Amino acid sequence: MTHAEPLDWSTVYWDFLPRIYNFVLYKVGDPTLAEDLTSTTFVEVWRCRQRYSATKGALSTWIFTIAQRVVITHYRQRRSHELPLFDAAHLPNATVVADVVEKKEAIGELVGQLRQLPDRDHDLVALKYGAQLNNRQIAQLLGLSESCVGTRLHRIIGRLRSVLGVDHNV
Amino acid sequence: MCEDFDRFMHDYRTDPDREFAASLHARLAHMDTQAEQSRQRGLLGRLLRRTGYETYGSDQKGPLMKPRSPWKIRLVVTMLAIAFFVAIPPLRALATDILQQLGVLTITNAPTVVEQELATRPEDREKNLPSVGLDGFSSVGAAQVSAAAGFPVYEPQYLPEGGRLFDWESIRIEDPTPRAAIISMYQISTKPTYLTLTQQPQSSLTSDEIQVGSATTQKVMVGSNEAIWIERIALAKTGPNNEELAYVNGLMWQADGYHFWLSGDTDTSLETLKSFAESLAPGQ
Repeated sequence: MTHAEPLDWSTVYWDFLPRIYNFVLYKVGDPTLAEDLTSTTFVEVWRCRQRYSATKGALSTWIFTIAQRVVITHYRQRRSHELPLFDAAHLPNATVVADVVEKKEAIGELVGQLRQLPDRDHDLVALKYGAQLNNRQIAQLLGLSESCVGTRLHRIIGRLRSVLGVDHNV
Repeated sequence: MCEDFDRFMHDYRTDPDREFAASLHARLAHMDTQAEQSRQRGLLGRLLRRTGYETYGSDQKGPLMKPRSPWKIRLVVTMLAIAFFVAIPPLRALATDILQQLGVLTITNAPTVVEQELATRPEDREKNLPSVGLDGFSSVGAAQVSAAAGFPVYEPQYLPEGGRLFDWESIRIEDPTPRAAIISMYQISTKPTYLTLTQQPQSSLTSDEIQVGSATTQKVMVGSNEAIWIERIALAKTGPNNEELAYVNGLMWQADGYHFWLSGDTDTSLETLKSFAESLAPGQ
């Protein structure tokens, strides 16, 4: 998408919606909550969009920075209402999710594992596989080197393959 | 990374529900319509409508509105206070710079509400803006104002010499989601001005940007919390025709899950505001 001309924000919405939604889904593991936080993200994007300037960075960097803040704010608000050990052991709506569809159960299981990682590593995975950003874009967003992003992702995925029982012959 | 090594990680992706996607798109389009209507009605009117104060003085709607209290003071103080948690898009393209960060908040040099308003054509502005008056007051108890807001009001253990509580307001902002804030006004006997404290739950902040325009900023500490000292921020208008900007000094910080904004006139020192801020505690 070129930024030389005024952005068509409706197109931006449809382009980014699946990526924002999946980024949030890989962060929170709950489809309903992911919809809520996706809505919050886009309302913020919409409200502030006149301030976006292509000269100050890529559109994806700007939008995903907002999405990251929305997720962080959500956890900050929730933290005061939960005991520390509750978070890792009980996924949001885990039992409900399991009753609905297998795919939703799977993302819940994945996010349960991701939550045991440092926040930054969880972000890496959500940005790579949820938001479908490449390593260079992730590096820009998180202030890391591109090689560092690749190395850390490789290590994380290796661990996930093991704990999730992914076929090692694949 | 081997092509198959991480293939399974993509399998967790799912398309957003179509109904959700369409509904959100419609909501965003509706925001545009509302924003355009608000712009046409003028910025001050938009701000006041957000607080439910637009009709104040005529039908006394809203929480804790006391007929004895002069509406002009409330109007102006409210506008000063809400200017800090209502970020609005600049009216013209500006090279906005980030001045400070406070948690997730970004403090930028984008123009404040009144700076933007003065930049608009006179015929587009709200007419007959109020000036500040200083007669009479009435107060309610801490329990009452806390109950109205839904959270405990913080009170200072320290006040400058001759200082006293002038008034409390519990205000409600409806747009985009209902949320409450408490505005506490303290009168200093040696001055014809007030110290104004705005307190709102951090969770109710809907903007991640604070616009301070031409003000200068400095990071300081309030107790163990980071704070931003803001000097000469334009948050009101003055003069016979409301053509001049009026400035305040203020301190902004977050503590105990609340966002605080404490302001006084431009003679108010950082030390005075810090002493006040560090003495705040939940009311009894």
